Amino acid sequence: MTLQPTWTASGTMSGTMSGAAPHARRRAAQARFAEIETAFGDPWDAAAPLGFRALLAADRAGTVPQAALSLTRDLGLAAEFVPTELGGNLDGVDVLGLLLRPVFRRDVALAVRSVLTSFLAATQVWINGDEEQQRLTADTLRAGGSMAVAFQYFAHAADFAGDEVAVTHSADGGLVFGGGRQVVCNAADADLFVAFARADAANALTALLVPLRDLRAGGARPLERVSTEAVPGLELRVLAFDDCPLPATALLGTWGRGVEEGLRAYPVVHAAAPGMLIGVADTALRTAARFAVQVGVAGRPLARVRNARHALAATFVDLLVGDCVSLVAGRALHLLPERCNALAAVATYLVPPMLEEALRHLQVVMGGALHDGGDSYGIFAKHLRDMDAVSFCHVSRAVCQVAIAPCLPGIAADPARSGLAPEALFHPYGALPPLDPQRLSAGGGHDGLAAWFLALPDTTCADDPLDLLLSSQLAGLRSEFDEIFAAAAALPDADADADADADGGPGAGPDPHPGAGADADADALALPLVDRYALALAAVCCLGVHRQASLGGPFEDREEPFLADLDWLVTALDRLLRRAGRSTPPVPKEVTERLCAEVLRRDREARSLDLYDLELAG
Amino acid sequence: MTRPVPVIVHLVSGPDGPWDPVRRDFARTGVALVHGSTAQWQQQDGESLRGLLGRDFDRERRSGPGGAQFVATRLMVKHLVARLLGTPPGTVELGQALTGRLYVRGCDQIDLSLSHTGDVMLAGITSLGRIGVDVEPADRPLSGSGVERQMSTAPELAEVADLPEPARNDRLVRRWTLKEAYTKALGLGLAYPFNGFGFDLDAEPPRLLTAAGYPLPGRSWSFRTLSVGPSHVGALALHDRGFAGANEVDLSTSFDPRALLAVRRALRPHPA
Repeated sequence: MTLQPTWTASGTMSGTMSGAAPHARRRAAQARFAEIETAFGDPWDAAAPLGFRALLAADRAGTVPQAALSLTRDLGLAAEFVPTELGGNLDGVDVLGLLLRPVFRRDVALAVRSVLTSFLAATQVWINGDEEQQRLTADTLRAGGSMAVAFQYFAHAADFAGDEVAVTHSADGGLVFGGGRQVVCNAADADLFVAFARADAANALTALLVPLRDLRAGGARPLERVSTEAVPGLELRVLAFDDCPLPATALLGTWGRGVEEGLRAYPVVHAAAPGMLIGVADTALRTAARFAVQVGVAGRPLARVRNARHALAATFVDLLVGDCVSLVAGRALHLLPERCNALAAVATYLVPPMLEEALRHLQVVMGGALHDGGDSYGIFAKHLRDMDAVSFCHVSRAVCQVAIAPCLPGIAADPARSGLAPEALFHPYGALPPLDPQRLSAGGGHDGLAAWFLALPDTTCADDPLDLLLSSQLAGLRSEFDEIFAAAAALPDADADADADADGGPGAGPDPHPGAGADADADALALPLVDRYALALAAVCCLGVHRQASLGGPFEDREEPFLADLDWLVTALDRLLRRAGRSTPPVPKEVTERLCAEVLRRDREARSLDLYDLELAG
Repeated sequence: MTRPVPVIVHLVSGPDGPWDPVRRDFARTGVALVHGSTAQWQQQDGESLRGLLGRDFDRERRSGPGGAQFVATRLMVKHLVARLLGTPPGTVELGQALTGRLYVRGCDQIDLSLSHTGDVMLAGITSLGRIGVDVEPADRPLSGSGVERQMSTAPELAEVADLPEPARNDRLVRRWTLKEAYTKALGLGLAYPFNGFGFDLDAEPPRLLTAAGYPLPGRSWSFRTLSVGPSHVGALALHDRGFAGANEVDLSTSFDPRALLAVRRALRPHPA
């Protein structure tokens, strides 16, 4: 096997791509982004009905402006996550997060209510539903309808899960769903509800597509609103189900296989959601930058407070890291559907908490205004609070750990087992084949990213200090992979339970406690490795994106001198390696100063603080 | 729903604890607080230390004069985490966020905080959200120092100006520990300006104030002044996200059984 990466992606790309050409994809995404931004208007305009001032007032009242919800419907935002084959706009998950950022940058509660909840529910239908269910879902969303979802209850998933509702077969061949209560977002107005219900066997779950609008007149009763200080604008309600008869066609996927099939949809959710949250982080960083410039830091001008400039630069780079991982994970769904599961889980495991930590760092800039930001800067504290809530609860990291940990020994044994990662993964707006749900599976995570990196030649240019720094960082990253793989190979064999259980035959049912006994140590030992593997993989994503930007490509003219520059890359690698606990040479101060200047420029010119540097409405 | 916030700091003199009261607090409230002596916790031989400290071991050797204290703090925290999570101490890897916050790598169900001064170590751990602790000698001189001005908002300076000693210094020490605990819970430590927020020390429990002296709305934060041994004052800052359970942090069941089994089955080689 050759370990040389293929520097042009033409071999991967030719013949297999459908959909728009890269130029057209870029233009279409940028035009749609601009359309959404323009429709929402300048958020800093104090008189704007959907500006930050209005959103803050609504937040204090525990709601979101009705006009904002209407606007998301008028814009047809749900079409962004309806596949093109079903009449929607989704031709690649890699740009979904970008296109929904205009909503997330304004208000998390608005975004969760108007797009995220429906996206989570609809994804289950795209991946596991039949043609009729997909058509119903697509038509509902395109007509301005919305969806709700109650995920299966995972151990350690710190969400608002209530008890599991049961489903049974009825005598007439249909289904009976009910006998429980769940806390659900959009419970009062969703048209469709994706539920994971307890099926006959003790530990089996069955997914259902429930026509909630029809049931609200009968067996499904939205009860009291559940208020939360975490994100007050969310519309969470207890939804109580009496026994509701459902047609057999409500079954989503296979009876009793809700866990397995639910996991199949997770890569899509896990790859897409972090890219949306970058919008939240963008606003927080922009607010801190404005505050530093307009008010100063602890009474001093920004130019005289180095740790504040460092915080702005560092947060910006964390956003870029998050965006790189989102981009690569989103593209991997299409390019490596059988092998993207660990990478997608890495995106959700790593990015939201990293963004939250980055935003916390900005408190250094905000100082007392964190508590007393008024209408001008109060959005910072709100977005920080919301990021804390969503990064912790919504995208449960425990589910991601479950997806990544069992893959590590296999990846460690042979990182290049399925070849090297294709360079097309790193290409913003690059053409993609349609998402093929049949090929998404809980695979072994052999995305080939580590192997791609380990096969990179060392091309150090000895007279450039940043090149030397990069070279040292790459050596550190190689050692990190070596150590992770060595530790993963030494993990106690955790397959025994799965084997024993599978040998018990199809009727045996899963062992409810596979974590007990000798396995438990393997799980506990795997947790830090999952963390370090996620950091290392993020570093590879950054390298890939930088490489694409600096090499140029066969697809389009390159317009990203910033991304081709080493400043952000060496800062990103520095932060990822130090998070992994490695010591690494310091990044020169002038690099940090240049990055801070870029943040201030993008704020002044109202450009997005992410990989794309797009024009904003304000 | 308001949970009780513990104010008892349990003394643990070494790996043998005692841990039962610590575990009971954690099970009941989602929070546990311990203190220990660095001298006592340093009584470990080199070989077992290497296994226990893992990646921290070499750092300890590099860190020179403060090294022994570093070892003691890491040992106490590792044992605390291990006892509460039901896992061997050697499997606990401590990480340090870039803002200085200490965390258990790969286990975001819990948050922890550590403070030490001289021989005294104080550690807090929670499954509810964010935690910060700080410990200082009760007689640390702050009155009239430059620190007093830096750490105080204008209303706070006025409030202590006419107090007699030692009441004035006591109050400053209490305030300092609360401010440090709060900024540590924010994930920042001393990088956050202490005169950007205040504390109402006459309220019971203490209340967080804006720099101008107004109380902040919301019930998710709790603050307590702690008594740590005979001669030290501590503080606890606790942020309760409001949806994490205090149970379910046993690492032996960290992976959801159903999901883990499904993944493992999918990874098994398919029959030819």
